[in-house]
Amino acid sequence: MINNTPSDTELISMFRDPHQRERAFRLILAGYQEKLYWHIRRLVCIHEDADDVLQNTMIKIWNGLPGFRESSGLYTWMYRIASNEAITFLKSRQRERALLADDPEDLIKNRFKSDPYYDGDELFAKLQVLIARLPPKQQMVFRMKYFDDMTYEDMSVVLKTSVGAMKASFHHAVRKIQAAFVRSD
Amino acid sequence: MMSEDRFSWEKEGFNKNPYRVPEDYFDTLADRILRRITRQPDRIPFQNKRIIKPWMVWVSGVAALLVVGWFGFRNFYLKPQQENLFQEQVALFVDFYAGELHEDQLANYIEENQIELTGDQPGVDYNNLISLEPVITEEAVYESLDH
Repeated sequence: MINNTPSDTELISMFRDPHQRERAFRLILAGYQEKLYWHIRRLVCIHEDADDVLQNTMIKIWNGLPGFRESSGLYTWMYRIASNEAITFLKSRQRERALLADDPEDLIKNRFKSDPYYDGDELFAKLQVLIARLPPKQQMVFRMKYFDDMTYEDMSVVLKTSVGAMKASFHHAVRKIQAAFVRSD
Repeated sequence: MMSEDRFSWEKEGFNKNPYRVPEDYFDTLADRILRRITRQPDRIPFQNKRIIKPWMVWVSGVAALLVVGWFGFRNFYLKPQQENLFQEQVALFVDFYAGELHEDQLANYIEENQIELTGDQPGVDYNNLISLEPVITEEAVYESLDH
């Protein structure tokens, strides 16, 4: 059977040709948009936010692809951009929450309630509130490992921290969340 | 691999991915992103933005060598030579004329022209102790002595 799907290298070459750029980009999106979306959604939770982050990610990919040196695979490179965009978004959200006088717990629960594409229960919302109380780095590590099953090695590349520090961060996060759950039961 | 019973919140029926997407979301995504991209201000593609051309590397390398060479030449050849020349002038002046000068005249000249004397034992050896700025010329000395 003949495989007509262009390889990543062919897609990159096509993208560098201005006449084929849009077609190449559509093919890249068709191949990777769902994977990237779910990666982002598990980190930022709300569909509207995930959509914003994914669009920003894809625009950065469009702008950066002509200079992409192919030292890593195309998907790894895009995944890293998506992760960084999601991290930037989460940090800005956390800063906003810190500035608002309202109870962060209510803010998070209200955000979930306003998302029509969310079917989580009380328990899931409670978990999200406890995660939001963690320091930013621990929060990021926990989300990436627990919800997105990222390996410590991938996380270490994205977060520019050692694998050992990632493991320690994840275990601290789990310990804090478990303790908070026990206290609240 | 994470064990399933590791986390106390993972009770029966716990769903860690309770998310959905709007219908047709992925079908329309490319169009929406491309619309946003076309609204961006014109960007020069990264590969064309390469300002540094190979010839520039060569030119900058040669320029760097010239600068380093000039400083080396100045500091290690020209400057010592000028200092030697200056010291020779002072030595000549001292040998030929200082003996004929009155101490007061020499002291006045040094004071008026704000000549710095390095070392704290003037009179021991003028060749070693005097550092003159500006350079003493014979004319300047005669001019000073005429006053």
